[in-house]
Amino acid sequence: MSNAPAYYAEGPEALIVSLAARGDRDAFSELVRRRQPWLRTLMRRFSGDPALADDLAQRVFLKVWRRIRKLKQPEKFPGWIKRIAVNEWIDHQRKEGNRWQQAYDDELQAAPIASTAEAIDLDAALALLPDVVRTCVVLSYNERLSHPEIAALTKLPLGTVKSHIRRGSLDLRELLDGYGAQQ
Amino acid sequence: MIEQRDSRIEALFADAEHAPPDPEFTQSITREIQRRRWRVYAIRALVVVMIGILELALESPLQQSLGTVADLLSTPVIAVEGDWIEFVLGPINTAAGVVGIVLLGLHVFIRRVVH
Repeated sequence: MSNAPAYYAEGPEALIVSLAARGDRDAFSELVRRRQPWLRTLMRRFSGDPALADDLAQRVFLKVWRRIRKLKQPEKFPGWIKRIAVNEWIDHQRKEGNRWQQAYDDELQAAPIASTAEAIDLDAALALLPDVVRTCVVLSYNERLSHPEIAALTKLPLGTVKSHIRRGSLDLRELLDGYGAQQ
Repeated sequence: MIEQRDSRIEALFADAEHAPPDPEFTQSITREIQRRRWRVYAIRALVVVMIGILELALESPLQQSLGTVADLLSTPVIAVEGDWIEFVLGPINTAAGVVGIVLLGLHVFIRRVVH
């Protein structure tokens, strides 16, 4: 599997996806090689924990391998894998008993206010947002998805998504003010 | 649909550190797929062996009981004089025929009640 033909590295993604869907493990390996920086970054933005992010990313790739035969339109692969990734993250939140969908409570609200004076980077600031708010913000800014797309992916009402992104953006700005001043 | 994003946050996301490509990560996926593949093969092999053992163990009793059941099912329920009448009534005048008629009746009854 590690001896992937050299020309796979230059092939268009849709072709590589088609080959992987036919059970070509070298093609799948190439897909993993191409997509892993993006997926691991996305999971790091979601979770704020590099080790957990890699674990979740690995689970996503294994699900992709199991299901890729059912993907009839290879050109839809980017959206398809993104959906699997977001579902994996939400499932993880639910399994861990985390307060997914709970946007703000007193405890969570207190954290950003206490940290505003510190110079923190984006990932640290994101980690201070509630899970559901962070997920919406990351999908909006990192993945550049529209609000309806985020609502469809997360199965949250559109109004809730808009509110989370608005509120999350304001909090991020506030949190990152100190960081920006020191840049 | 125009959705305004905060330009400063956008810039921060654009500049933020990305996870670097990690060949070891790709290798780990490859190994995990291989490991799962072998596990599936092992389970299939185990199932085949189990079926083989079961077949060997049950071959004789199964054959015997199937023969007994076949004999029972073809036994006439009511003794009929004459070979050709027995032959014509065979489908209903045997244990198998009776079971079939009962099942058919049950099916019709359930259809009437349910629908």
